[in-house]
Amino acid sequence: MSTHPGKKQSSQGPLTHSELLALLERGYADASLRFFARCWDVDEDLEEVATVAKEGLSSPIDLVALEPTARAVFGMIAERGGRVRGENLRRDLLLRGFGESQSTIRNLIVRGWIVALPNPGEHACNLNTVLEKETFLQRDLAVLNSTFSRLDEIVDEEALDAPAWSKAIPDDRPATTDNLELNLLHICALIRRDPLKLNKDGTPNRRSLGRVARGISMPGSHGEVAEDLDLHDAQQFDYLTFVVSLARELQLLVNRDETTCRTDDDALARFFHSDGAERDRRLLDALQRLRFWNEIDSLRLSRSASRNVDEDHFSQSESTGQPLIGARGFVVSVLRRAHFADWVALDALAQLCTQLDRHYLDRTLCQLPRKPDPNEFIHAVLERTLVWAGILELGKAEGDQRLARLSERGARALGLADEVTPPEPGGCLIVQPNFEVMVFLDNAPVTVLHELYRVGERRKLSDRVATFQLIAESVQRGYALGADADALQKLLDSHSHAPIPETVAFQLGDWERVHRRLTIHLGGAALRHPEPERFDLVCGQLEHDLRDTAVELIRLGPRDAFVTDAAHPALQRAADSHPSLSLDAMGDPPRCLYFVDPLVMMVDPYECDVETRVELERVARALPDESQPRSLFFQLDPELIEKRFPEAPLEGICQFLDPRCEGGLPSAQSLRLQSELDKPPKIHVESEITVLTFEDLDAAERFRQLSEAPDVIARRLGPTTFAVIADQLALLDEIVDELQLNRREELFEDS
Amino acid sequence: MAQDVLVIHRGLALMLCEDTAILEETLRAIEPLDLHIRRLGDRALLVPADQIDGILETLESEGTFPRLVGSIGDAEDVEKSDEPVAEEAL
Repeated sequence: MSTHPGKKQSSQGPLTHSELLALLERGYADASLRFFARCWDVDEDLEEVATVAKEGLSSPIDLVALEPTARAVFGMIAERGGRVRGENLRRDLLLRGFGESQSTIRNLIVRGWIVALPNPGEHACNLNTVLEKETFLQRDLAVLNSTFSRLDEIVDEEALDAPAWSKAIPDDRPATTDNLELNLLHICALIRRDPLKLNKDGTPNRRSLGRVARGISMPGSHGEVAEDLDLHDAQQFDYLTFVVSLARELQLLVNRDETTCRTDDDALARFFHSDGAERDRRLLDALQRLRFWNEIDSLRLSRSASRNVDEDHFSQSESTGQPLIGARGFVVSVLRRAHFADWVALDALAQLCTQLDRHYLDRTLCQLPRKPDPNEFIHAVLERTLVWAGILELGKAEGDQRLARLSERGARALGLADEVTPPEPGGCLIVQPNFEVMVFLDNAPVTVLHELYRVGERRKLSDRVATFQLIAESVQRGYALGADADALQKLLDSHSHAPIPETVAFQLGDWERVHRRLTIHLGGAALRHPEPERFDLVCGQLEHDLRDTAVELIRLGPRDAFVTDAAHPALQRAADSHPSLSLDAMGDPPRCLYFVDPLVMMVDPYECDVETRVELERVARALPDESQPRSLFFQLDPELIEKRFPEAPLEGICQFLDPRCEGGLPSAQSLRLQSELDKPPKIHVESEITVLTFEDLDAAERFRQLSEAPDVIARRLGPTTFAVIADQLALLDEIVDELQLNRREELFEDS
Repeated sequence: MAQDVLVIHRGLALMLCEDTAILEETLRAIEPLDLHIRRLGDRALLVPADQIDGILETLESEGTFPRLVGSIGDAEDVEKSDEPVAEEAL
């Protein structure tokens, strides 16, 4: 048997006499023996059939006269050492541009030129059934040993006919994953300072986006877009919404509400400090999960001359990409299985995706509103999503045939490669005395770029160099985000071509000193205790409990302290072991106000929250002469109240006081406040009146309807009660007598 | 009235200044904001944590970037929508 240099020899190789004999005895059914005997024109005898594998067919295959796809099948099997999995054979033929080869493979099996082998452990494999059910692609296919020795003819004569693409011309400036990462970093760094606003329909506000987008470099172009930024250009806007949407899937940007998108600094740092393979994996995962952008509309957009664009496509609240998540995953899985290392025809790649599981894509895509054609969708994923992400690179062959290949990082993202070419060793930046940092992008680690975005402002991006400016604001902002002067100097020094200038090093330290002049502790708890000696004990215990942790207890005075972590168990232990009161500045206010006189309140300053204490001084005057350290007195002042709540003083003060008084604002106080702040409630006092009361409602109602009633009734006081006009008592007596009403005289006090 | 109790105020942020001058400067900067701030001595301010975003925004607009310890909240703000702006339409 001849060998082919560079060929990958299968572990099992072509079908030999002994293997076929063994398979005929154990793996194949009798029907298969008859199948072979008929194909190879020999007797139905095990030994005779098996001998064909060794001695060859009675009428040898004319390999040169075969039709191209059949020749390619043999060529491919020869490349793989005489045996290949059926579906891999079909896939590779698709990738090489031969189109669907299933029927050709079937014909070759029917003629006995290729043998479909039983699967491991299978008994009684009936080749007639295999052909009938078309399951031969799920089996190993082998050529006979005698045929394999002749396959050199095909390969030597380039009978495979597979395009070699040796003269493939890559795009001048392919979009790269590095470039996409730089765009993500840039946009997230700027949104950190200036949150991205979204319109009501979810589209990024163009003015807001414009502020962060000038430094973006469009895929396939040199340097930043800068003055060429035109967000009325649908294609530029489309790319930017792609970047924003991807950043959201990577959770680098988060929607705090429906109108604002913000940077998650922790997530940004985690992503750009993870190793390259992990970033690539996450990037590819996020690309498949894109919810707020879709490649079908994007590709249509780029091919349309119209400027009228459906704004839904750009909306960050319309999940137009969500229905495509599964279908994108399918395309990516096909690419992973295709395992191609070099240029392949783009159309062949798309065809492979449509052919491998035609029904899945049909089913998935037909659920979409506009039912895109599977081929259109696959091209959109390949040419738009994966190309923009730098996973795929496009090129052309002679004759303008479009080609595609995986980039280094693309192969790594798909799990087909472990390593990418390491950047050139040596420094990647220069720090200048004017605080400019020039970064050479070709060999700059992304962690360095992330740090420079954190502490600096990118001023310029040319083809291979980015220039950052370190200024007081940007560096202090970086310090606020967790950078520090020492680490920053070390980072710059270790990546710089020359030591960083002393003035820059000094200034970085000085900015840190300025930055540390004000520290804000979030997420802590303030402690107060009226007895300094006891408070010392409490604080001593807390300091002891916190000694091995990063949590601090900061003493702010003899009665005040602050613990930097409100959730630390030591704080709860302190609360449990002493009489304690817990207040939450962001919860309901404590009921700490007690009215002692009209408009005069007493408050214990230790029970009072900050908001109540501050607001009290805005609406009331302190009464220092009557106050004690634990009982402060305040008098509500209508002038101050009107100043504090100019629109509705009575409503404002009642809303403030009601939740802070035990049992709510006392009615007497609210009446007094109404008198002070609104019209005083009017009252009518009447004396020496006669009240007529009926014991049942029907009788009262009939009385009211008497023709004389208007002359007698002064006012109806209730359903059964009437006030009688003073000088009409005689008329009332007359009516009572006439109607024989049962009259009972009572004094009001007795009733 | 509770006597001699340890009072724990949660949901507060502590603004700790290097000295009195920084504290006064900080107070001046955030005075226009309608906040609830309790001053403690010459260096410390206590403020409800949900008001800290407005403070940070104001301070940063004046070029002060305080050191933050703990988690950062978010401020609410409103950007004029694209729709009413004629030149913004595609």
